Amino acid sequence: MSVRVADGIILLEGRCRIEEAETLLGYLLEVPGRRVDLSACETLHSAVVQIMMATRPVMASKPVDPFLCAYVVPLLETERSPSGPVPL
Amino acid sequence: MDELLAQFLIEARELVPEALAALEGLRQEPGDAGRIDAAFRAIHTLKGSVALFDMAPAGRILHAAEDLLEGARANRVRLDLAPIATLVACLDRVDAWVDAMETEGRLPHDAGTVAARLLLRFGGSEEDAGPEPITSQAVPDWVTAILDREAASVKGAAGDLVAFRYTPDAACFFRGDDPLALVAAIPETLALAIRPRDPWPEADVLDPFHCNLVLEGLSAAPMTAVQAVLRVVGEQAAVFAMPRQMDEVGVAYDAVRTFRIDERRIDSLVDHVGELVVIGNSLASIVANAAQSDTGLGPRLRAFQTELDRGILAMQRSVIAVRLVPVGPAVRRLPRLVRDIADTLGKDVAFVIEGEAIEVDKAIADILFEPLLHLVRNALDHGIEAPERRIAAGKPAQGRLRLRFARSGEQLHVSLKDDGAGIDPARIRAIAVERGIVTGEGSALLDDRSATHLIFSPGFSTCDQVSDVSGRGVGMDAVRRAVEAAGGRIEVESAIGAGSTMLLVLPLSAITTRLLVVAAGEDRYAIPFDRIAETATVSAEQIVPVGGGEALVLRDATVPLLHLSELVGRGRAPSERVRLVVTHMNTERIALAIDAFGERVDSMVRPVSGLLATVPGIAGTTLMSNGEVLLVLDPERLIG
Amino acid sequence: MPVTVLVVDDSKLARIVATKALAELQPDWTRVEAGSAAQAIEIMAKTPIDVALIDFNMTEKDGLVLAAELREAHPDLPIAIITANIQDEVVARARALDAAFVAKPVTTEGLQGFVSGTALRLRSKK
Repeated sequence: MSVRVADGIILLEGRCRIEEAETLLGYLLEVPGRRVDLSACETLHSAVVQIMMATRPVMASKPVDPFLCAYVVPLLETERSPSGPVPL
Repeated sequence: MDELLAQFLIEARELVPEALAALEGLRQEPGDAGRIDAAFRAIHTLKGSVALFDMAPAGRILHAAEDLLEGARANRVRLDLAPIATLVACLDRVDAWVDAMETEGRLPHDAGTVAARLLLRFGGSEEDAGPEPITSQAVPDWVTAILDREAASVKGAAGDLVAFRYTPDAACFFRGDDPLALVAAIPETLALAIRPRDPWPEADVLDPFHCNLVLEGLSAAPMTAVQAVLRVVGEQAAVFAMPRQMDEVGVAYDAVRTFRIDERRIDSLVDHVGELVVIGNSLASIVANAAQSDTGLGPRLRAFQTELDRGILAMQRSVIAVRLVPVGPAVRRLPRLVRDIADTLGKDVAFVIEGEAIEVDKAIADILFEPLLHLVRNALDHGIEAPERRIAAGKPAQGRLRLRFARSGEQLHVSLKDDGAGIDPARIRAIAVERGIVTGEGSALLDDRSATHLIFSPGFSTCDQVSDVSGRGVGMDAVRRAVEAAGGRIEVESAIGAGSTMLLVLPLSAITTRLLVVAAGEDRYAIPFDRIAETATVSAEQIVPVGGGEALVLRDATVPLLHLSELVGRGRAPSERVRLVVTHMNTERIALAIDAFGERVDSMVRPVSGLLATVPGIAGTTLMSNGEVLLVLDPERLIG
Repeated sequence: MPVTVLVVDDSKLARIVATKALAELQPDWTRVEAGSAAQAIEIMAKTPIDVALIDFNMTEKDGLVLAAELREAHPDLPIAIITANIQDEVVARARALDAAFVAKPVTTEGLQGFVSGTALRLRSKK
């Protein structure tokens, strides 16, 4: 499994495939306000990104992958931040 | 002028030649995809630009031109010579209309009719054209939106950009598509925006497998590389190659690479560098003095001065280079005008330009067009014969006119060669006598070459030659004057029946002039090298009195001799050895006796002002390294 | 309900490669092989098939022609075309048939997306 919950934080790890989208959505609906940790995440399937875009969880930790950092992270953070876009 | 219009004029005049060059290439290499693309891009951008002004007829013909090229791109249409000629005609028309926008601020009244006639030429060539005509909008909305959003990435980009937009269908996840992974595979992505296609529903009704994304971005990779990645999703993805230079309306993302500078700023830079050169030169003598009195300090100062000189020289070169522009753009309108004029005259002429890439000082490039237009018109009018006469003379019906730019040392050689009837010296003599330029006896004394050069004399050209192209009565003497004002000269070579060649010799750089310092008695003067045919030293015995003056035989020709010291109002000192500077006076050579040759220098010649400006024969002043100011002589005017 | 996948390729070797990748991703799916388009149609007529994996480059009849025939009778069948080079024309035809692409040679990585998507699709159907 590359989506699991530990200490109330949702951990997305390794290669997150399309199947994980549903699991992630389940965890987010189960306890609203759960944060996500992307630090061990290698790739994210579009469907998983889509879930985060739609539900806007707070990110507990950023991923290492440069593509995700460059294009996916700002997308998620800016959606969340009340004070406007956060520059990287 | 309206800033938008000014910018439009600049860019339209870059785009038209770009498209024409591509089309010319297509004549040589029919079907060449790169050139079809280049022509398409230029015309496409141009169409977008004309839409900003009241130029609807231009928009219509460019639209048709674009459709034709789009057809060629998709291999639906073959670009034979006829459609290429139609495209060239469209561009020529648009080019003329761009000029009209500048001078009149609007299109000519017949623009609509002219456009309609041109549109007829497109008719039928594209009957089997595919279903989708290009939209009339130059840049799709989504591209404009990306450009707005990603202005920062766009500004930092060094080259061409490709915009892409991928809208996966809702069921794509089930087919196994991962849009983000696909877009991640696009090389050299500069910007990427991932957005929902429709607003997100509440989380509890969110379908995790219903794709609701739009992915848009910019890549610096070649178009084909971006297409290769997105090909697999077919029509769900759109790509758009952005023209290299979009105007302010379309975001100028090329701004980092080139920008326009007010010429005056460059000129002031040139002046400052010139002053530095002088200061650097004067330092040399100070260093030499210091070295004599302090042997310890001398070498160190000299080393320091060498470094400084090197720096100044490099700076001077850079500044000169800044002012260099290719000659091509200066004459970009000539091909169209040649076609127009030849049409009016009922002549068939192939016009080629060679050496357009040669770089010259902008001041030189700027003065080229008018004289060349006149020479071209002359060649078409009086040089190249009508087709039937050519055939009768055993020549091909189509005349040839070649404009060639070439570098020769520090000079630019511009030659315009036609294969027409040539200039008949006898006829020129007759006209010159008739118009009172020379006497009958005078004309008989002239050799053919000199007689031919009479065409450059004031009063030779008459008003019946007022051209309907320039609208002004520009004589050949005006051409000569323009060329000479730029520090150049004009010559003609002609052979009856075979054609004529006009040769303009101009300095490549207007910044520094190579000067020869000469002495006349106590005084020193400078003479521009390009005014000097040769220098010589002869013995006094070789000089013989002729009429009221003197002459000598120099390489089998008799050359009149004048003394510089007398010309500048000083007495002359007798000498056994006579030093000569031989200069041109029209086609004649004239020897100027001087007392001593001085150094050769490259220096800036400043125009004279005040009292000196009224003295004939003074071309300017120049500052020497020791602070001495020398008068720069214009021998021709000094003698004349 | 068990899932049955039909692998169509006229190369035996290619079928082995594809079925191995399938087995790795979905060990419980039943794999049926066809060595030609004709054989594929024969099998489809007798056996209920849930997924089809078809090689594009087959001698008798290209994979897209076969896919088109299968699509007529099975509007919801998940179909993937296996191909080494993707040309615009092929993309357009495949899209018209709602078929996915899987790069040749078939690897678990390359097959992953299609198999995951199909699994979801079959599950949501049931």
